[in-house]
Amino acid sequence: MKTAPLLGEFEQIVLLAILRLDDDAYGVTIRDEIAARTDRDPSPGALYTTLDRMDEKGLVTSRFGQPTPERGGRAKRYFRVTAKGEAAVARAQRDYQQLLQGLKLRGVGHA
Amino acid sequence: MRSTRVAEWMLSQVTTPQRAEAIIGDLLEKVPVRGALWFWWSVGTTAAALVWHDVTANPLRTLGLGLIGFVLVFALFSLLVLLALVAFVAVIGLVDQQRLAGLAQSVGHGWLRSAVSLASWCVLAMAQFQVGRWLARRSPDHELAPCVAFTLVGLTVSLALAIASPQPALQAIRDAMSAALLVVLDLPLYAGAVSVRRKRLVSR
Repeated sequence: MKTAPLLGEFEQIVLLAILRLDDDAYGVTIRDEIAARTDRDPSPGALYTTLDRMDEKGLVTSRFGQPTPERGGRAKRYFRVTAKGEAAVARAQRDYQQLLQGLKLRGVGHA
Repeated sequence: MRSTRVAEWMLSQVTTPQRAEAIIGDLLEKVPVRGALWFWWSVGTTAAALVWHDVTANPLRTLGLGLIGFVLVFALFSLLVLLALVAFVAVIGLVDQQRLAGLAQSVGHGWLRSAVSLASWCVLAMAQFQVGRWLARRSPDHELAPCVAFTLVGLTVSLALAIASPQPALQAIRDAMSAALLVVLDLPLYAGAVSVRRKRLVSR
């Protein structure tokens, strides 16, 4: 089995947000989910370049939805995490958990 | 919101038209909450981020193209100036010297200098436009990336020349700052690249 690719911190956050949103993951909802869960407000530029980069790496796929009037007749670009993307997130989380084992961090209930 | 087509056009220069449309749709959804200023700021920063993503995707090739472009503009500009000089000398040879001196006197040396500056700028713009087209043809789907590399090379050379020149520090800083304004002079280069991209998108 091939090793899952390494991810940057923001890539992990974006992938986790897409996984949480399931079928409703597009630019606006992804940003809102990140803002609600992490108190970060990523810039649109950072988000779209990260999504494009992950699309190129095969970590996510995208499809275009139907045009909607509230967006001036423009379609949404929906994202889904691929099996490779899921494996990469799982690997990153496993690595974090292993490094956290036995550590007591301030502000973290259980480590 | 009006003029979103302009925003969509801007983004479609650095990503596919369909993706540009989706990004503008996303930004428009947030306009009632964040306002028009945020919208335009986001369009600008997103375009910059996407073009920088193209530059860094293959940095050596892109920078190499930018460097070649810089040399080509310099060579083309020198050639065109040389041709203009040859033509000028030929005209002087044909026209009566006294009449020419009289003409220069009546028009004024200031005007003459301005005319020469304007002509030089036009020649430079022509050279840049052609090199912009050449660079864009060598970088399909990332047409603007080598142009950004070209601007970076130009800025680096200008800043290096300003700093290396034997003059007081304040003057060197002033020169370095005016070198940053040279970016505006690269606009014909970007126009050349955009013209190639437009043709490419239309042919699809």
